[in-house]
Amino acid sequence: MDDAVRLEALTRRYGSGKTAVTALGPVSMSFPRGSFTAIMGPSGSGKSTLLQCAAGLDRATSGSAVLDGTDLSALSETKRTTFRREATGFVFQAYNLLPSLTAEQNVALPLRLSGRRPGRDEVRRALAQVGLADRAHSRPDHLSGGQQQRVAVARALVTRPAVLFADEPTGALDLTTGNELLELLRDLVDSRERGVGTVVMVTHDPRVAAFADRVVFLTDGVLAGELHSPTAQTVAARMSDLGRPGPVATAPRC
Amino acid sequence: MLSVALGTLRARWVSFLGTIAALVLAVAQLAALGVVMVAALQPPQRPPQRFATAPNVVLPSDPSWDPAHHDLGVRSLTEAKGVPPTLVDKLAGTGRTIVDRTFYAQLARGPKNQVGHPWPVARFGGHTLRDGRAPRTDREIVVAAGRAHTGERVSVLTAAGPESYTVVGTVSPVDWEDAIFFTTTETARLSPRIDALVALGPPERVRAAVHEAGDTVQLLTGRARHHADAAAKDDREALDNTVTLLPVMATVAGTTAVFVVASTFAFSVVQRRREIALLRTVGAVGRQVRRMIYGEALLVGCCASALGSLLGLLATGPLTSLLIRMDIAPPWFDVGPASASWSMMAPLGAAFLTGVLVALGGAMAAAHRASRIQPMEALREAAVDDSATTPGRTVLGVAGIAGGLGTACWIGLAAPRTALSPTAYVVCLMVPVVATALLAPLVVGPLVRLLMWPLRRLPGPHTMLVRQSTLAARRRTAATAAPVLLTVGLTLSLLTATNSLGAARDHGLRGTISAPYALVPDGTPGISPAVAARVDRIEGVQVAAPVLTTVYLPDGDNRLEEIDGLALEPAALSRTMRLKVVHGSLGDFGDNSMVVAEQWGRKVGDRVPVHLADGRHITLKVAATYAAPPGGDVAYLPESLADTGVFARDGLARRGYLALSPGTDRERALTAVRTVVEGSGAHLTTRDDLVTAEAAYARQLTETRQRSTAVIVVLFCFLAILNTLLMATADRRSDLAVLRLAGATPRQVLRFFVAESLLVSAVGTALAALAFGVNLIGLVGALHALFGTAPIAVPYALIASIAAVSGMLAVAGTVLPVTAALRRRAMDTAGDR
Repeated sequence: MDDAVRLEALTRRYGSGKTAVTALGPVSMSFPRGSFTAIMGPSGSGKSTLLQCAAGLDRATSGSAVLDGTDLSALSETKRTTFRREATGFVFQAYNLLPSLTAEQNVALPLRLSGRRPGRDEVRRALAQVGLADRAHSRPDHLSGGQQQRVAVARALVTRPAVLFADEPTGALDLTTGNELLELLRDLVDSRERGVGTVVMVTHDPRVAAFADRVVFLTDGVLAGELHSPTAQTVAARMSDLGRPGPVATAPRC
Repeated sequence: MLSVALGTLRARWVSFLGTIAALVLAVAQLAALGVVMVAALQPPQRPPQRFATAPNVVLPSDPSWDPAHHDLGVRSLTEAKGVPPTLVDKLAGTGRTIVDRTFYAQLARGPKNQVGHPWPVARFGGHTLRDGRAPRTDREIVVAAGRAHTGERVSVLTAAGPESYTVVGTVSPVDWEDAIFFTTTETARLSPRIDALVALGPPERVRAAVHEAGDTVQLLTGRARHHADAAAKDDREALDNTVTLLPVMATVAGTTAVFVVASTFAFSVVQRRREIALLRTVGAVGRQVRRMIYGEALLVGCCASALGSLLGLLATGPLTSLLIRMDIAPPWFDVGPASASWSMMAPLGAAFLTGVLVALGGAMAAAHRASRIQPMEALREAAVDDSATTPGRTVLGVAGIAGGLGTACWIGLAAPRTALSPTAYVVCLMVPVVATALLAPLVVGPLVRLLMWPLRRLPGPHTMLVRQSTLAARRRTAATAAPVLLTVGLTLSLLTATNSLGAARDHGLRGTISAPYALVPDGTPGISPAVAARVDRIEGVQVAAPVLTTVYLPDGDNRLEEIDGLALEPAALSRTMRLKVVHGSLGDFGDNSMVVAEQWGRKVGDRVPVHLADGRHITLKVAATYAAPPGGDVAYLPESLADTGVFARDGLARRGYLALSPGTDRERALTAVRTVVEGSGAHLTTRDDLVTAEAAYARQLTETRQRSTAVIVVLFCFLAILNTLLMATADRRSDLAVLRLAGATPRQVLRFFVAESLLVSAVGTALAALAFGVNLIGLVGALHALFGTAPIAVPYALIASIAAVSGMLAVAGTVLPVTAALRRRAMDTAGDR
């Protein structure tokens, strides 16, 4: 129960028969509570698929993903949705806010979907957490990209999830705003009292990965090593190794 | 969840308003048609007119006779026989009685609805002399002031032929009849039937006498005396067209409305795919998505339907005046919010309920699909709609084809007579059209490739762009093409069927007449047999003027079946008409026999007991059977039965067929005929002119019906086209922005969208032609079975203009939102979804 997320021989295939493509796996790994993990790999290495399967957005073809002690693969589509709504938050590269709702309404959406009347304080606190308490009534088109992404983070945090997943969260942001957002995520892990302790993030940028405690590398859907206490330089070096043909040392920790 | 749905309205208001507009208009037309239909079924309440001051009126009656189940103008046997003379004698013992007779009597050049009455009944209807005096001799009459002057000698046309009378007085005109008053003895000569009897004796003795006579007579007092008025029949006759037409209109309009609304709601859900996918990523489960869509559909459905019902009630006024202007409803027919009554609540409620149910139904299928949208779809950048062929859609499409082809084949092979029933046939015509619309998403792909194939060598990017964008979004293409398909498909099928039926009928009529000339009524309801006899006496001229009558045959079930009969000289039948004899021979047609339609199931040689309208019972032998054209099944009777015509009908011939003996001087004979018929209510024409005139009359009737149906459907469909295209195009701002960013000039963007909407209209028109093709199978089959020939008459010009207007509306529905969006900067638009 120390692991917030545990993946066991997880695979994801698309299509069927001869045209089937294995996007991921088999992969086994775990994300301990209170950790900040970055997943890296070249395009098409299956990092987004891994994230989506771990978050319950997508269903594994075989193997299992255990999230906060619950095996997602055993759940029906509806049960999986209600479970992930409570247990996870997800931040996308494209902020994916509903354009017609205000920041506040967007943040309150997961609570409403759970059938709860969102408390004003709850929503305000989530917005305050990302530093946007004063923009509660703005619509997405009146917010900058960084602000929109922070609303998305607030929406992900509002249910106090066990794990926050982020798929290239800084991909659409400039350097400064990106760094601010990463500081925010780092802060969520470091100060436990804020509710979330675990962050899993996909990125292709070594500087972004350097904010994590640990970097996991993927190539062709399987693990290709990992790095603890990364810096931008060590990550970049490892990444360029991955791009090189030939045998690569792989020592996945199980 | 509903609050989320309402919160997202801002981003999709065009689509939202589109669904509301479609529903409001659909419910409004259903409500208006329903209310007018209910009103038409209730004849107006009028006070007694002809017997307003008569205390007791005795009428012949048949309690089992429901006029709604019989053709207009046909009398029951008891009505034809009139008040029994025995009862007249018996009632004479109770006190004073006055006999009333109603019969055809028309001043030469007077209106053709003039009637004759005995003078003594005039006072019960409030007729009083304005000048002159009452008629004393049989050659004297009283007419309404303005028709003739006192002292004038006039010619009066009756079943007995034109005769000359002296006007001895005038009465003030009334609006409920235009009568000529004769002496009692003269009316007895002209019309042997006693239509009614006014008994002035003590009411209880009158009642007792009538009661003894059994249920073949009824006693009318108070308001019920209105039943003796001509208005009671006239009102029903005047509303007959309305009552026949409205169900047809309502069926067509209803089906169109239901289809358009359901597909509009379904389409609006399809358009919200991305929004729904976003909700799914945030954690909405399928049930929540469905509940949100149902909730919204219910809310929108209730509000729009309520508004539509109200609008429909307000629209009854214009609809009624349209019906009056098209001569389908009588001028006094008045329906509107002012004359609202409780009985109108039923059609309003039905329209409201239909609206709500259709909104829910349309949303249901789409909601089911939408709730299964995978959350990951929201993350995909290019939102291509799910155009993949799902098993459900294939099943629906195949069922559609099978249903459409099945209906067409059933009509063509098994039930050709369906084509003659306006309501049933219209429904059958709609089946292939709606089936094609269901099938559309499946055939859009091949159809677009086919339509674009000739254009593939055109330079410029438009051909490729348009082709790919319609192919990539087959459901959108199908949804936007559907209203065009409905408009063109329905009008094409409906109008072609009507025209072809008319043409086949003309052909049939022309084929049955062998005489080269004809006598036709000249501003009168018919031709007196006396006039025909006079023409027949001209040397070298032979006339057959069959008198229309009714005979009553026991149907073995102790009931009488009434049959139209034409009484004429047996030899004249074979001389002037060309019946398709199936069994027997016209040579055997003599004084005690008849020729009947084969479809009645009687065999040659059968001896059939017949009740005649004058009360006689005789037995007629079936001499021959013939194949009757649809609606033309009559019994040909010997001339001796012509005098039953005045009991059953008005004693007139509807037309006369005229042939010349070989060797006759044609010009001289025809001049003689013209001289004889001058002023007698008939005129000479050729067979071809007769057929043309009859065809023109029938065509005017059916064309008015179909045109009014088409007008309502086409108007609604035109709005639907505009509406759908507006909805679809407003949703494509991001497509537009991407084109702009890729370097397309605003002009190019506009051209692309216009080309696309033209392609969509072409797809709709092509699908309409497909549906029409299916209908054609049924039509050709039915016409062959019924008439032995199938002249298919397609109104090309009209259909082409309807298709052109559809295309123009589709372009307008595209250009408006595109130009609006082009005014904004490209980058601003790119973010919009």
